Amino acid sequence: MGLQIIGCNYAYGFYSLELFCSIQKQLHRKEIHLYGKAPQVWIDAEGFLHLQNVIDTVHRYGLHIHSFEAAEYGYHFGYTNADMRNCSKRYFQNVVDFCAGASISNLYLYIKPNGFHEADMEKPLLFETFLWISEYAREKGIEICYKCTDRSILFMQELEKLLRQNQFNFSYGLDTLQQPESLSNIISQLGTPDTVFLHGTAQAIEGYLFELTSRCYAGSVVAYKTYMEPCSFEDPDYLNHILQSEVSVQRMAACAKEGSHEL
Amino acid sequence: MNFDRHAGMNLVYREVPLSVFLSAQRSMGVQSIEFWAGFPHFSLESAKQSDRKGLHSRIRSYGLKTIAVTAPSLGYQYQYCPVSIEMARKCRTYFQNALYLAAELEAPIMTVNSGWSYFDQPAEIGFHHSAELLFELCIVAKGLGIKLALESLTPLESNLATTICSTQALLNLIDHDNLGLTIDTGACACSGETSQIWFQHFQDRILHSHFIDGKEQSVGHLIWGTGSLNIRSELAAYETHHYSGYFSSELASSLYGKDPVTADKKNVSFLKTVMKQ
Repeated sequence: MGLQIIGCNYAYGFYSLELFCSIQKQLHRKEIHLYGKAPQVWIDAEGFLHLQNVIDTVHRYGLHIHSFEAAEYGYHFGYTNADMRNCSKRYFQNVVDFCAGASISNLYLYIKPNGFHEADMEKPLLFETFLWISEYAREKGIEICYKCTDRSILFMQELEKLLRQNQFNFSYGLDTLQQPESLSNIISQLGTPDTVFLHGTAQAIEGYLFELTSRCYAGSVVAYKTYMEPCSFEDPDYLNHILQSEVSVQRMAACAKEGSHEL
Repeated sequence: MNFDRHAGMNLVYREVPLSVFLSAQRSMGVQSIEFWAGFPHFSLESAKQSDRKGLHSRIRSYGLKTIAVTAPSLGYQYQYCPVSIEMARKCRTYFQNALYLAAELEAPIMTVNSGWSYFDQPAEIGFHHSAELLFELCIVAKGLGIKLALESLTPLESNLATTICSTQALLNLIDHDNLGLTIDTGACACSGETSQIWFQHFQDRILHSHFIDGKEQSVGHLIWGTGSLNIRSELAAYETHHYSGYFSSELASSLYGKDPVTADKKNVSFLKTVMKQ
């Protein structure tokens, strides 16, 4: 079976969800990781908009939402200001409700664990709210997974302990923001991730894919931010660049499975 | 141009508490600020009147006055080009909250921009959505005694008002006397424009400036001396056209986030060498 490449709308942020889905169909993909950012997906502290439109668009192209990721904006569980914290809690609650409404069972959060306006947040508050949102999500049949980079391993270990002590599962997604060797570092400390999020250049991505196949990794790999060549949104060839990058990722994944380098 | 026309801006301080920003301004002898109303310093979604009043007292306690307010947009849900009626309703409420904040802070200006629309759809539709929302906000702002000052965005952020030509097209669509302009020198640099040609084209419609260094093909809003702009010729354009507004340091680069005080101080030191004390 081996690893499975999943499309993601992150790199299509300035384009419509319709266009993203049509490209995924062209690539013969069946599963997507939906990055929940406006205007493609609108969620705020009051609620959410156009849920049925999102579901209909995805289904029209024969796609299934493998997992969802909250854009998070400036919301944060660790605010000591009660109004801001409650506002943030309402946002994340709405994220869970959106997932429930779209029958999405895996929700990824990427909460900055530290170094973020430290004086305005406290870890006990952060952990208390993690438990609260985990409980809320469990009631709705949704599992929360956490995105991790090699800068947040210690925090993830603390979080894992907390969640397990409180009878929650802990699963994480590995974010390849750093170098390919960081992948081994994170896996050795946190175990096998449920999902790997690919970022970076062609060379880095090939490195990640080989590392994963050499470990017989059989999970999901999200083509998250895979710009094979530098390009920008206003470039008339932007979509072609992205499409070429998407095709390259698929080809590299196939090569990695066979053990032959493409580059 | 005198340094007392410089205004500090808390956008680059968004990973540290507001008190760090306010203290830094006081220590650098800055008298005015442009308040960026985003998390964690403020929440336009949840703020009550008491929060607005509390913020005003806090800013004043540092001996500072607020000369403009900017509501976070672009990277957030809320932006000036909503793509549906429901989104427009939410955006209107959000930006109105920013206007109420500006009124409480006694800030005479709120900066706005065109927002952006989907790049795979005709930009004309986006221009109309943007014009509709901005026109409504012009009316509310006028009632509160606040001017809106539209800035251009970089072509890396938007497909709408990114140049003199497209900004003029949007102004024509909105057609409201309560709408002026902000020269964003970073956005201008990205589009290959200068303050001089903005003044030549828009003249006294220019009310405000986001005065930072920049580079072509870059969204970075940089410390003066680190980009490609010539600060002396930029300032000369403001002198020549008898500009009477403020120069806000809208520093915005991921390079500065972890140590905004050092970045801000470096920028202010540079400004003090070219602006009269």
